[in-house]
Amino acid sequence: MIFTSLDFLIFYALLMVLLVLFKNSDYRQSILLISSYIFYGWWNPAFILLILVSSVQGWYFGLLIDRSSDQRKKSLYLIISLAISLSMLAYFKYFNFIIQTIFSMVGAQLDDNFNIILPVGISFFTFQTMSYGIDLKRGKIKVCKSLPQFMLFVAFFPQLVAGPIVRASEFLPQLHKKVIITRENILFGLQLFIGGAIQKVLFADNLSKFVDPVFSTPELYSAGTLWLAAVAYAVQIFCDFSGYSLMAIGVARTLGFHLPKNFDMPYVARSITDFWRRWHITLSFWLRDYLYVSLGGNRISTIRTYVNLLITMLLGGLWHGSSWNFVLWGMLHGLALASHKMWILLTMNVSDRIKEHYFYKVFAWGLTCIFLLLTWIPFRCRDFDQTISYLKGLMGNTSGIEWMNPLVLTVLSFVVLWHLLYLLSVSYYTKYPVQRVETIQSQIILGGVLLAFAMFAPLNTSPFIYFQF
Amino acid sequence: MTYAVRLLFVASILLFSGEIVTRILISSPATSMSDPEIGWIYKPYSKIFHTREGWAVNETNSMGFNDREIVVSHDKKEVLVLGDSFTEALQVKQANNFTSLVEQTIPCVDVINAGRSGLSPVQYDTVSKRFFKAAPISQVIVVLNYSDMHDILSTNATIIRDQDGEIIDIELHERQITRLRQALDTIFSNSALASYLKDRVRMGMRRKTKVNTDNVKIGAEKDEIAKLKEILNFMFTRINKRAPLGVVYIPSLKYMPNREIRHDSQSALFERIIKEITEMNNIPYRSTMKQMELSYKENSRPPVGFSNNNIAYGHLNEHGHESVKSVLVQLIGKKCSSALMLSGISH
Repeated sequence: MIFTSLDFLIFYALLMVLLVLFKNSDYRQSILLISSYIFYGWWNPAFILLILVSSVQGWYFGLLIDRSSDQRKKSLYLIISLAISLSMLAYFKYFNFIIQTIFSMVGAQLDDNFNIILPVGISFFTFQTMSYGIDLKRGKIKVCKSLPQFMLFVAFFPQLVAGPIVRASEFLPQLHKKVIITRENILFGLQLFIGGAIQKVLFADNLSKFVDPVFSTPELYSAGTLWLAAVAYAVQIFCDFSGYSLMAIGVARTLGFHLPKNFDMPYVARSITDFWRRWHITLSFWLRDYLYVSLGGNRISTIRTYVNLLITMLLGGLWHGSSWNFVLWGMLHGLALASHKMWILLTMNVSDRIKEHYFYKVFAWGLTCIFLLLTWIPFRCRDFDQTISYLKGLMGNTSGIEWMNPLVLTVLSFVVLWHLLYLLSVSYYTKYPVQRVETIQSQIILGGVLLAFAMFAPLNTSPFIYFQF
Repeated sequence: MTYAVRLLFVASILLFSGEIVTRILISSPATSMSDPEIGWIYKPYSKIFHTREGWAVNETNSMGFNDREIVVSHDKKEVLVLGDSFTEALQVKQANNFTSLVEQTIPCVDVINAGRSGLSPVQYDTVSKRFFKAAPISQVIVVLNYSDMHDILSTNATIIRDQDGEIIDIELHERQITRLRQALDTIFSNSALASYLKDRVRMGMRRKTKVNTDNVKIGAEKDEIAKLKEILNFMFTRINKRAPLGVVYIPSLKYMPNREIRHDSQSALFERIIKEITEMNNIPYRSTMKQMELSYKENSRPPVGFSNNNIAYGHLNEHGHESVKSVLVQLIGKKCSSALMLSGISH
């Protein structure tokens, strides 16, 4: 069930009716838990078992960690819980990849029927379960004694399949309060949902009509077209994922829950470090807190810091999917983060006047953008061969087809305008606060948005890109 | 202002703005009307604003087809071209479509464009009848493309056979227009926005219910090929009896690096079938493959597709129409008698 489908709208309407009918908080939590399982099972009911196993083992080992006073036992329980989560992830997400790699190394042919289906959202909910155990062991959170509440934390449908990755410390305390449906939350949540839908349906889906054919056969297109498609993909993946996150945050808000922000205008970043503070924030902070810090972070030595960054990003790349292209993408980002750290050390004595100079900022922004643009290419391409073909084409394929799609140029202009408005501090959040929703201007804007959906939304909605991760 | 009045006010503003935006940028009000024989037809002398692929405004003639008015002249040879949306060519200006380009190349020929989107070759004979009444047609050309293979097999028609199993007629079943649709047509014919939204809903529904023909492999079952051959044979012989027939095929292309193009395998199969049937009946046949290949080599643009949709797939663009024109000129013959030439120039 995807947020932009009719199925979801019906599901959501029925859920709201039930929540309004049953005012008791325990009932409401139960309704939310059951509806979350229905939401997940809509795609493939068999995989409900997977999320159930993930939740029960996370909860049970959490109890054992909490009850044990021996640190070694706590560590043992945590290791067992992490091993279960990671083996589920390894089997469903990486087994195909490992077997295919081994087969290709020995030159053998794999049976076409061999294919393990990747359950939607597995990377997201296993990370949530893992973070709960680690935080508990570190003594950062209190144990969750209620199994239904823990199950709801893992399976809460707005963020279940593509994030934001919510931590127990952010979500479980909200379950201790009453689930209250308020008019203000509904209005604000719907505004966020519509904002996300604009990004997804009007921007990302329209761009995909250009990006998909160009990336599928890059050797046919001219250098100019390939550059335009690279820019369009950079915007598409941002609008697609940021749109989904915003819709998830919006839906959760209408139900009275607060989810963390996942994007903060990443393309205005002036360094790769800044980019990772703005892009998929919940994942990058997860990797920082649970992987980078666990590896030693920057506490051991300068060289070790760089190595830790590289390992974190390599694994971060692999988290996105079982393909060497994601490993390459992660490695390039790891190298860039390490290089930026080095650059900071090297320019420590450079005056702030230079660093704050307009040209320095623009140069830094431009360099970051070009790096991001080029690294999105292996991220989007099917394999190494296609990546090389695309990069070769970028460097000057003059015999290819020239395709300057006016629709893409229009969408890109809107996105540039939106970023400019953000830079001028006229952000969506401050421009349309909840209080103004009943004014005639707000109603015209809302009506205009609905009309724009009816007129310009592509007829076949593409699935969210991050569903595959 | 009461809530209802305000809502009405907001809705009016939005619908009015939507109507203006649609008329300026997207589409004209509905231009089609019901036709008992071929389902629907464009209204006579209506302007059709097409923006889905390319950007063109064209005007229909008194018969509701995208062509100039038919003016019968004894000095000119009347050639009827039957086809679907590829022949109708709403994507380019009327003066640039292949039927007009042929007229510009051979002045003594009047090419009547009888193309209409959504028509199946099974319907071409029915369409041709009304043109035979309107003008003394001396040659008919059927323009086929890859999608026709699916259209023929999926046409809503009953094949009537004699005792020996030979086809004697094909009875078409066009759905009768309902009263509700007639009532709605009044709204659609006056509002560009309403007619555009109706088209989107229709296309959306069709996409949900229709099997993606790109993935359907015709020929997997022997019956399909046999049926295809049988229907084509029947249609070609029937039209050929009215006037000498020629057949043109526009293949589906597969693009390769360095501006090379190949035949799509299913398209090649359809071409073989057409070739076999035309040879069997001594009907002149041409494929546009070579011309398209040459056009793609000379221009950096493929012969089909538009920037605002898909640059390499879809309907014929200006280069594609030039390619088809060259083939049509071969079929019709370029020579005009001096008397015809003079009258053609003076016309």
